[in-house]
Amino acid sequence: MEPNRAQQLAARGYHSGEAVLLAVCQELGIESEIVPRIASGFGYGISGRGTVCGAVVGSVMAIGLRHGREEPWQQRDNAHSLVQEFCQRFEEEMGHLYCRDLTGMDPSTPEGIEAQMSSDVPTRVCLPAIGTAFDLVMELLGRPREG
Amino acid sequence: MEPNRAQQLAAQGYSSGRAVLLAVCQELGIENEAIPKIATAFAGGIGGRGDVCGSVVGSVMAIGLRHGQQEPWQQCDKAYALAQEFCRRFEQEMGSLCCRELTGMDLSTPEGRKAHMSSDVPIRVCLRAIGTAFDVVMELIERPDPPAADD
Repeated sequence: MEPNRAQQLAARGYHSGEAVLLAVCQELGIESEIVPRIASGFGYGISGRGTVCGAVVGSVMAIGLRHGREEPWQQRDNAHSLVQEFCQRFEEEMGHLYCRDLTGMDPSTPEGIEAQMSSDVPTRVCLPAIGTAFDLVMELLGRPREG
Repeated sequence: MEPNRAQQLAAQGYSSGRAVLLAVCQELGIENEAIPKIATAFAGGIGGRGDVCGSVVGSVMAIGLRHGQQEPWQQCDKAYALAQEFCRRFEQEMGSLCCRELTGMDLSTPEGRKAHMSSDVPIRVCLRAIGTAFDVVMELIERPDPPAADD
């Protein structure tokens, strides 16, 4: 299967959160000088902590960009329900939301990151996670707004 | 103690991720139409799921804004190192990075969120987390680079 836009960006060296956020913005015609750098610290589950996968964080940012609130008094939009659906479906597809559970590796040290990079995990796990996140978030954002 | 800028925004109704991100951007003079809405769904740990605290996510976004990469060939080691240090210090101060461990509550249901709002947790825990995140991230972002090693 042809790699999707986020997977192509990942293959050029963007990490998961950057790749998904930038790909969604390109697809939706959103140009911003803060994209993708706002996602730079989320690689390897927040800079190697192994928590939430960067592809998930990038997707949740993209949902916020489209459906988020500018001012605190604005009515609660459907960002939260879209995010919940996104997380549930990502988890169904990939099995987990957390980097360390998805990869089975410990990215908290330079040696851990090196071991991961020289394993098949980036291709077997990370690239599918990035592709899945992008496809899901595009589907959810393409859906007509509720209400 | 006087509430810091992020805590003041939280008191106006901004959720944790938005409050910290917006406060840092105001402090640094960064204006962008994506801020703070890009952080909207990081409340209660990603859409109420209870994982990483929104104020941590907002802080790591702010670090990326200042030290992240726009092109894949740029280095983002500095963003990584700062985000790691941020997480370590936030954890030392607050005991955890995780919403459900910090709050001891389940924010995934409307009932859970109502119970949270009517408890003392927003003030006792969330406001403190927001204030801590803002202070730590501002210190890290503004810290000058160490002088290059002379060898």
